[in-house]
Amino acid sequence: MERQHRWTLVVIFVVSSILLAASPSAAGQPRFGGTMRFALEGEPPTLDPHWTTATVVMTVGSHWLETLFTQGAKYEIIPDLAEGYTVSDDLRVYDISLRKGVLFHTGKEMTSEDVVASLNRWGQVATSGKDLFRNVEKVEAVDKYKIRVSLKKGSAVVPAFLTWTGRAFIYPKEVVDEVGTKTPVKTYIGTGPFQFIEHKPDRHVKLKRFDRYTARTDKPNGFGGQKVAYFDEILMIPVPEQAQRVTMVQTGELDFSDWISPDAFDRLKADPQLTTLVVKPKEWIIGVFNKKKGLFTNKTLRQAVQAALAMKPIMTNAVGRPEFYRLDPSIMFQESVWWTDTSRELYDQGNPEKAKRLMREAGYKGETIRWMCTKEYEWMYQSAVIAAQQLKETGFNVDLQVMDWASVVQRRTNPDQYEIFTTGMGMPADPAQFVSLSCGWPGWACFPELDDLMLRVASTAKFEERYRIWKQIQTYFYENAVNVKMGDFFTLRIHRNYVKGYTNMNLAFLWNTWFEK
Amino acid sequence: MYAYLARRVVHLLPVMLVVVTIVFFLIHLIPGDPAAIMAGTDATSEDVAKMRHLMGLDRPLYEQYGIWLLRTLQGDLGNSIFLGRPVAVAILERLEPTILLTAFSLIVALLIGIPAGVLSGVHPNTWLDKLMMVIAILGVSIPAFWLGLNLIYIFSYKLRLFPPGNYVSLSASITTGIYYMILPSISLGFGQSALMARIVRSCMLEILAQDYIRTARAKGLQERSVIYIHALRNAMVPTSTVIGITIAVLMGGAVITETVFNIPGVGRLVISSVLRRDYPVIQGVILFIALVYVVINLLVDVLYCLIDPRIRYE
Repeated sequence: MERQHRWTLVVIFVVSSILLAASPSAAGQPRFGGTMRFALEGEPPTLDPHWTTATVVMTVGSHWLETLFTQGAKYEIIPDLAEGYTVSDDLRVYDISLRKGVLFHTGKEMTSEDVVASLNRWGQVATSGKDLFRNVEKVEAVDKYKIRVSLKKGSAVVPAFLTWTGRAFIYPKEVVDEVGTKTPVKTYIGTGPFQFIEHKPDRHVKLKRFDRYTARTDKPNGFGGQKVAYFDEILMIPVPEQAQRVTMVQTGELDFSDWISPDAFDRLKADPQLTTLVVKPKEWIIGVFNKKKGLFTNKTLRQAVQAALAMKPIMTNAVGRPEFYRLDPSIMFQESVWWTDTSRELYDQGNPEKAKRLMREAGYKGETIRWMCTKEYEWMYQSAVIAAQQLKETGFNVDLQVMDWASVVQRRTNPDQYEIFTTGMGMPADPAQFVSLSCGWPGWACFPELDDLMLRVASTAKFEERYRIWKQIQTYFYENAVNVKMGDFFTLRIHRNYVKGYTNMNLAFLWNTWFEK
Repeated sequence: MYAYLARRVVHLLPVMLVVVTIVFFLIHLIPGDPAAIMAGTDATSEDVAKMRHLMGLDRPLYEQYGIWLLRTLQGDLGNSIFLGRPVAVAILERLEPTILLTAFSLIVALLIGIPAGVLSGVHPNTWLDKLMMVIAILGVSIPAFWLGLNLIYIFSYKLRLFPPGNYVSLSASITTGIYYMILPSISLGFGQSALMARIVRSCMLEILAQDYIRTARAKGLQERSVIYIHALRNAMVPTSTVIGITIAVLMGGAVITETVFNIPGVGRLVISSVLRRDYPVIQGVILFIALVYVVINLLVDVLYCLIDPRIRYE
């Protein structure tokens, strides 16, 4: 009898163990709780994403604020605060319906008056807002849950502008009325899954779960879909030193860090406590010609530079490891639906003979080419060093001017001060938003034909037709050597192994992520 | 004494004026545009120009200087371009970590420097003296940032005994706050302890050779009393000058140590402000540090009277 009882206990134990192993928590089921300590790459200059294009402000802002549209896993445009939209045949009138029952952190329901007030402010303050509003006639409320955006000329890119990449975040009307367009917002209220608690400059930005968050019901999809705040709190801690970010995650002082140098990849991959993630896509390295004044107003000379450069040595020196760069002619990344390899033959030529011929045709007489770069972003400097060396070997007289980033940013707006500068290009939600192809941005791509193509890609509805125009733009980019693309590069993200559910997109976000510890 | 103090305070004003004027023009001579940084990478020239106008940076330099000087004389250091808040508030918010780091580092410097100096001075030319002086030379020679990085590697990364950086306010938790300060304080204080040891040693050597020390020994005082009451107290007069200067040096050194250990203090504020060309903050912090330096020197002079009653200022 006793023996039978013992066997019963053994069976119960085995069955329980199996059931326990198959239980939700053991299978990595999401859990609520904990404080996520996340490293920011620096102190945010403001917490108002309308006010600046700084990535660090976006990283913080995307947790407590939301936009009408966002991007899915393939960086396609999907609704977020919007329920959906209709557009007139001439692409001039967008009626955007809003989700009902979305609450601000004060408990007030978001309605069309908040959206209209936010978009009108964004249109006057934010860089991309001003871009769109050049073409906006009026933004108005149709009813409590519908707004209308009326344009002067038809455009297909309105939803793309109204995403997080466009910084078109929605505040309550009272917050907008409080500050207008002269200063950044002072009251941090949004509709996001986390709500703002406090900002101690240089110490942390503290957020906590917004318990009354109204999530979408569709499946999580990239930045959009259903968002669940599993962490009780998020502490976003500015750690400007990259090495310090690494050590702090390795020692468990922090849970998560973005912007880690690929140099540390092997070491961090071998750490059993850490998960390493390659952030792909991130940016591509670009040499921007000064096309307003001086040597590179000459197209043939720009083509000579394009012909001279071999990208593999440049990217190897810039990034180091092959896992972290890609040689690809496309202006839009491979991960997006806009990718095309048209004009591939004009990318990565590494053809000094052709370059010399073009230099002669251009009448180049050894004038100095001032190439500005910074060491603050190591990849900018390292890529420029090799590119400059290749140009020197071809016969160009290059003066590589290394300065801090603040100086590059200042001098690049002055056409008297440089011939080329190096920077990085991220991925806009829509190719029509590419700043380096616009006349207003440093480098000044002021070409009527390009402007016309950009206008057409922005004002065409059907994707297939837009894609065809986009290919023409890329052809124009290469044939006229508008700027020179070096290659795509990726960065490294690390987190402790107990961080689960993380979706690795090009901007770090912490909803739908939890601790398993 | 009071007349002397009043004179010293009056003398402070031209010194401060020269400091702030030099700093103002030097900073504005460096290329770099805070408006462009504030506007972000994607901003157009038009956006940057608008931002520059909003910040008042499009006015002539002399006009900007005049406005700033007038405001400073009224006690208003202006607003941070980057942080969008008054400079005085930005400094005050970051003062606690810097003061704590300076204080803890000074404690480290005193705890190591004075006993080491006394031991060396009392036992000159012995192995103990030589050992102390080798350590002192090492301390003076090793840069604080290098020592800091090694401390992080050994005690944080390898041994997991201390956190590699960050800051916890004492108001949040005294023990955790002190725990987070241990490595940065050693990193910053060690170099100064070496300097202190060398000063104390030479003072002790000089004083122990004085007649009154011989008299004290001759009248049968215990050696401990001779060293700690008669010799060390007198050695503390020149040492107190060094302590005063040490506080100012530690505050300056905090710039690097705060960066290495990610401590959100005034030092890190000034580094990041230089990188983003936040002119009002740089000017405000340098004005503040210069003021601290001058005031500490004044306090040290006053302290002389308390330590050595023979000293009188007329």
